[in-house]
Amino acid sequence: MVKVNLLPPKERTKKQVIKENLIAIFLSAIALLLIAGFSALLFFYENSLQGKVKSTQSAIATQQEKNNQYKDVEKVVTELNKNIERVGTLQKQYPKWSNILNQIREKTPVDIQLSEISSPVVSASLEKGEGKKKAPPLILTIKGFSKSQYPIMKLKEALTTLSLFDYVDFESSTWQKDKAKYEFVLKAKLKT
Amino acid sequence: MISYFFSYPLVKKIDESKKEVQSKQSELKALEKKEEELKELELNYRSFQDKIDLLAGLFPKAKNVSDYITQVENAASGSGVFIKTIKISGQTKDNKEVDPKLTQLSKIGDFYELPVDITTEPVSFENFVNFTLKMETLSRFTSIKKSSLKIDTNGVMEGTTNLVIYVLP
Repeated sequence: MVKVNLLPPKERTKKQVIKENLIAIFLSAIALLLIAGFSALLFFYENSLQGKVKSTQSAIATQQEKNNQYKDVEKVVTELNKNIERVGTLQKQYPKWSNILNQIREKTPVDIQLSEISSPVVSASLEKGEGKKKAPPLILTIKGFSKSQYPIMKLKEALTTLSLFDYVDFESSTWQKDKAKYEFVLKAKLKT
Repeated sequence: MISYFFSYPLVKKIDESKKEVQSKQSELKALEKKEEELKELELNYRSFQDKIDLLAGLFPKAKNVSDYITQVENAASGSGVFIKTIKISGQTKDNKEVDPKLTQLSKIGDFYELPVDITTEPVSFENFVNFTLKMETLSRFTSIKKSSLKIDTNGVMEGTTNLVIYVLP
C-alpha cells in the first residue's frame, strides 16, 4: 500500500523529513549506479568493437600481402587478355586473303585462265584515329583469258554468289589476237 | 537527462565503430574472394602456359626481323613458293628520339607496326594460296593488308604480299 503524506510541510515531523531525505539519497545513489553501470557497459562494448576493428584491419593487411603474391600472375594474365583482345581486333581489320584467293580459285571454271588478282595499294589512305585504324574498301581486279564470253559470265555469276563481295562488276572483255582468247577484267568489292 | 548526456557520445561512437567493423569485414571478404580468384587464375595460368607463350610470341617486344624472315622462308618452302624479294617498307627514322630497337616502326595505338612487302614466284595458284594461308598462321601475328597474283606475258606467275607485323615494346 502506498503511503502519501498529505500534511503541509510545516506539520511534518523532523523524523519524517530525515526519512524522506534518506530515501531520496538512496534512490539517487541507485540511479547513479545504474547510469554508471550502463555507461561502463557501453564503454566496454565500444572497446570490444575497437578491438574488432583493429583485428579486422590486421587481417586485411595479411590478406593484402597474400594477394600481392599473385601480382605477377595477375599482370601476365592481364597482358594475355589484352593480347587476345588485340588478336580479335586485328583479325577484323584486314580480310583473310587465303580464304579470298581460295574461293576465287574454286569458283573459276576450268576453261578460264586467271592472269591477275590484285587490289590498289593500301598505305597512306588508312584512317588513323585514337589508336584504331579503319581500312578503306578494297576493290579487287580479277583478270584472265577465255576462249568465249560464256565462261567469263559464268565466273562473274559464281563470284556474285560468294558472301565475300558486296558486288562483282564486269568491266571489259577484249579479243587478244596473239593468244586467240578474250582478255577480261572483273571488279569485285570486298565486304568490310 | 544525465544518462542521456553520459551515454549519447558513447552510443554514437559505438554506431560508428559498428559501421567501421562492417565495412572492414566486407573489405576483408572481398580480398578473400579475390585471393580465391587469383588462386584459380594461377592454376589456370600454369595449365595454359604453352598457350600463354604462344600468345606472347604473337606480339614480341622487339622487331626480331631475323626470326620472322626465317618463318617466312619456311612458309614459302613448305608451300612451293620461291621468294623473290622481302622488303621492309617502314622508313628508318634517323633521330635521337627514336629507340634504336624501334626504327622503321610506326606507332599505332599501344603497339608498333612494321610493314613488310614480299614478292614471290609461285609454281601455281594453289601454291600461292597455301603460302598465304601459312603466312596467316605464323607464330608471329601477321596481318596481310593486300595480296596480289599476276601472270606476266611469259607465263611466269608473281605474287605480292603486303603485310604488317607487330611489336609491343
